[in-house]
Amino acid sequence: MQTILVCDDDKQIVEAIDIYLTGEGFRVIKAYDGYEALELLENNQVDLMVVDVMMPGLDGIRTTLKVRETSSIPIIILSAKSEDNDKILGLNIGADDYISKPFNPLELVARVKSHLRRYTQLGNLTTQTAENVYKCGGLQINDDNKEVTVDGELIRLTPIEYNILLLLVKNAGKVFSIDEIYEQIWNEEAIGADNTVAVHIRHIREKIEINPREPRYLKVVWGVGYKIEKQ
Amino acid sequence: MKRGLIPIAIRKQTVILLHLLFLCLSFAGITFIIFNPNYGRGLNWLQEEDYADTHSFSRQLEEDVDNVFRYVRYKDLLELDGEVNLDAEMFCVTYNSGNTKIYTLGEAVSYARRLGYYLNDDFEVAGGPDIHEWDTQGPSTPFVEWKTYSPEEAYEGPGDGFTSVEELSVQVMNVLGEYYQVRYNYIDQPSNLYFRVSYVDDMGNELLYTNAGQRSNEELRELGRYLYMSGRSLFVDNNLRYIPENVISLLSNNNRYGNQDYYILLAVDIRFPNPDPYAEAQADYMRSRTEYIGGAVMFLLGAVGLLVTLAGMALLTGHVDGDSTRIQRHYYDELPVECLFVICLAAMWLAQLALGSIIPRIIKLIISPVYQDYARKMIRYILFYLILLFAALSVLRNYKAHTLWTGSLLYKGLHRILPALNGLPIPLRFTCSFIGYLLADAGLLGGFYFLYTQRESLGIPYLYLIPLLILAAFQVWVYLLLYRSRAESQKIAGGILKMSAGDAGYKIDSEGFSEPAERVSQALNSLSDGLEAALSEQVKSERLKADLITNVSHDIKTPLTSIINYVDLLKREKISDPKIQGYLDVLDQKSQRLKTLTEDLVEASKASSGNIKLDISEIDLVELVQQAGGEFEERFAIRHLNLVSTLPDKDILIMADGRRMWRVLENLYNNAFKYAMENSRIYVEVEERNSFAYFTIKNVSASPLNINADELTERFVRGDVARTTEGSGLGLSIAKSLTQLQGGSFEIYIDGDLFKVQVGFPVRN
Repeated sequence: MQTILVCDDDKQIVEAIDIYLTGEGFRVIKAYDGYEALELLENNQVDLMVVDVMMPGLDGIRTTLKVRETSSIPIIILSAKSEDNDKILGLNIGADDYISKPFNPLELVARVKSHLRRYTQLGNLTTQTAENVYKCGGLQINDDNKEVTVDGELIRLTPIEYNILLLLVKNAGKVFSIDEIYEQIWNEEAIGADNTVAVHIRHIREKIEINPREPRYLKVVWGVGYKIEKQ
Repeated sequence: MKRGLIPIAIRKQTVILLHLLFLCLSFAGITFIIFNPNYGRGLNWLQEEDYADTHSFSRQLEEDVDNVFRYVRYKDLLELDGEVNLDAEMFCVTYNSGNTKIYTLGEAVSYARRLGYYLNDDFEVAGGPDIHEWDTQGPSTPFVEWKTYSPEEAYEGPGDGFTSVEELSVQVMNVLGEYYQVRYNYIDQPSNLYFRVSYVDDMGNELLYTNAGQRSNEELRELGRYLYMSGRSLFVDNNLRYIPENVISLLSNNNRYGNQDYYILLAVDIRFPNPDPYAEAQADYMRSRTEYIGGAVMFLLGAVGLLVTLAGMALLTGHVDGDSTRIQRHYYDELPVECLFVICLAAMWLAQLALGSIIPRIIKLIISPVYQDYARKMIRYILFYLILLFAALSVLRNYKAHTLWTGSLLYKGLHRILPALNGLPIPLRFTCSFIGYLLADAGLLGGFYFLYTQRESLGIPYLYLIPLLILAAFQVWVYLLLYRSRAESQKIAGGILKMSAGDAGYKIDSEGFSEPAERVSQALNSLSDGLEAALSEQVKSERLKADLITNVSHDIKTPLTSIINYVDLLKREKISDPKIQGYLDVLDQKSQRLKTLTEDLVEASKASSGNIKLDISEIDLVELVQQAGGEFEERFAIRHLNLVSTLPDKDILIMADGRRMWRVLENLYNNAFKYAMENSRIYVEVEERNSFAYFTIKNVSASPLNINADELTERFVRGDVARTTEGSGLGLSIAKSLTQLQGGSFEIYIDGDLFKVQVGFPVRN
């Protein structure tokens, strides 16, 4: 049983998260400020931490910094601040994810699961790198058996979706415009292309991303094209 | 230090006294120079150093050459063994009776003496009878056969040869006088000029004419200046500056023999030991030279002294003590400068009158006629100088006391007229000023014309130039005035344009402005101060508002999280009561709505206050619209909306922040999704027109749009007044703010139920 530390000064929020995660079969230990969290972390075997930013005493950012001095467990920051700067700050100091309040409980659970899968499977997955396997963070494509997995979970894609994703993953970091993708996948010139590619991309995002509006892998570069974030 | 101890009054008096002294000195110097015989020759002659080099010396020498040859001619005729030969035959006449008589020197001289002729001190013929023979004898005059003293004279005409014995005797006496003169001056008396003329007659005897006695030619040459010329040479051996030109022709003309063995030697003892014309002339020359130099030195000293004391007066005048700021003016300095000017002119006119009447009479009493004219001139100059000096010092005192302009009639007049003018309306005022300008010009030109035509009678030279100079100065003044006013209004206009163009804090640099322009620019500057303060105040309050909204929304979000989470947990409890199910759905919807509302509120306030960091780069509008279409196509399908896109084949590049542009499109698509009539079409179009890229979205509204297009972008305004649908009412406002922040245009058109938005961006080339 995996143990998750939840830290927030709002007791009701901690309680709600406890209910959701316990329902999914995790053990939850609760802290209401940063010092408490650090103390619990020392005395317990913790697999993942969810921490709020704005707390009395030691806040979420400084708690994260402290934890990172000794541990590499996944940390998900939870915050009422939703501006870009706050997210960038949180991710830069060592957090693995950033969820802004008010959050969808299902999304939180999904993200917790995803991070845990990646964290625990990271060790044995790296040894298996075969020739036709492309990896990007938790996203993995095995071109031999045409299988796509995200954090170990199998994803079902249509052939066109698969080809588009493969193209992007093979060239991770490179931005492809709609026309380029069309020409590569359909092998014909893109004249008066309609929304087909964009719709496919949206479908892929809905399948591989926890929150398609804030994708982790398949990013939209607005007005330029699409790319897979190099990780 | 020491100068400070001397009272300023004494210093002033000393300077004035010195000034007058130097004035006298320089005029004395001028007098010396002007009355010097060498006046008008410049200064070069001073370097000639020696009298023997002067023209006057060479003139004297030329005269002496004439005399020497006269002696050469008469010596053989009149002299025998060094004594005057009274028996020498002079002339021969034939009377009407046929008698021929030869007159000797003695007879001729006795004849003349009987008639009353004699030789004076200068050996010139003087005296003579009251009635001359040539008047009484008439045609009975004797006929001249020959004259030994003038052998070459020819009588060709019938009456030529007839003359009176008296006339002939006088001629003989003249010859004798000339002979005596030379003999007396050069031979009997010691002379500074030595001459030796030598001819050789046909028999080979040397005929010597000299006053040099036994001295050799070499000795003579060493006396100083000499001239040697022989019949055998074409060159004149000499050390003179100017050769007497007559010597050459006289030397050869007096050679009565057929050979070239003659020569002349002239020598002047330049020590001038003997009193003769040379010695006198040399003494004169040296004196005049000394006088000339002395005069020049006096004049120079006087001029320098004049300038120095003038500067001293200019510095001292008006000051009463060491304090340089206090200026004392004399009672006549209180007069306006124009009055001073008139008084000065009057004084000059009076002086001119006096010079024409009284002064010449006084001069005639005390000064010799030669100097009278000069004295009159000098007195005139001195008088004029003193009058002008007096006036200049008065003007200077007024200048120092800063009352030159303020005390002038012109200033007073202007100050009487200008306030009256200020009350008039501008066009009238301007016209009056212009007429005043024309009148002033006309007056000055008239003054010039009057003085010019009257210049003879007024007698003051170049007086007519004064109005002309004033006219020129006046034009320059008016030009500067106009120039300044133009430059000022230009500056002010530039400032206003800058302010209206958005530079609210612009300040006009009013340094050196005239008073009215200064006032205007001050007013403008305080206006811009106010504008700037108001603008920065506004920006500050917008920011504060945005901060407030952000903070409030943070505070709302935390309890909202709990609400959303617990509503969700309640729903999971599988409550079977449909009533409670319905309540929960309402709670769920409204809490979700509250969530979007808080998020949009933050974004709207930030977008409208410009408190957003933009990441501007080159993006393709067509690609963006395709991407947006892909995101929304399926959502539109939920409400049976058909998305119809018209996109160009080529890329249309604009400069914008891609994520913010997506936000704009997302809001517009969302807007269409929410408010478009079900089962209708949504038209999306991208086109390039006049180097502008336009994105247009059109849809037919589900509910009637009884609202103004502008009002739709106001915050919290929605097409449906009842606000039944979801949405914050901030979408269009955010879209418009974001578009404008990125430099684009955002227009909403409403035509009946047709709703249309057009977003424009300049195309990047």
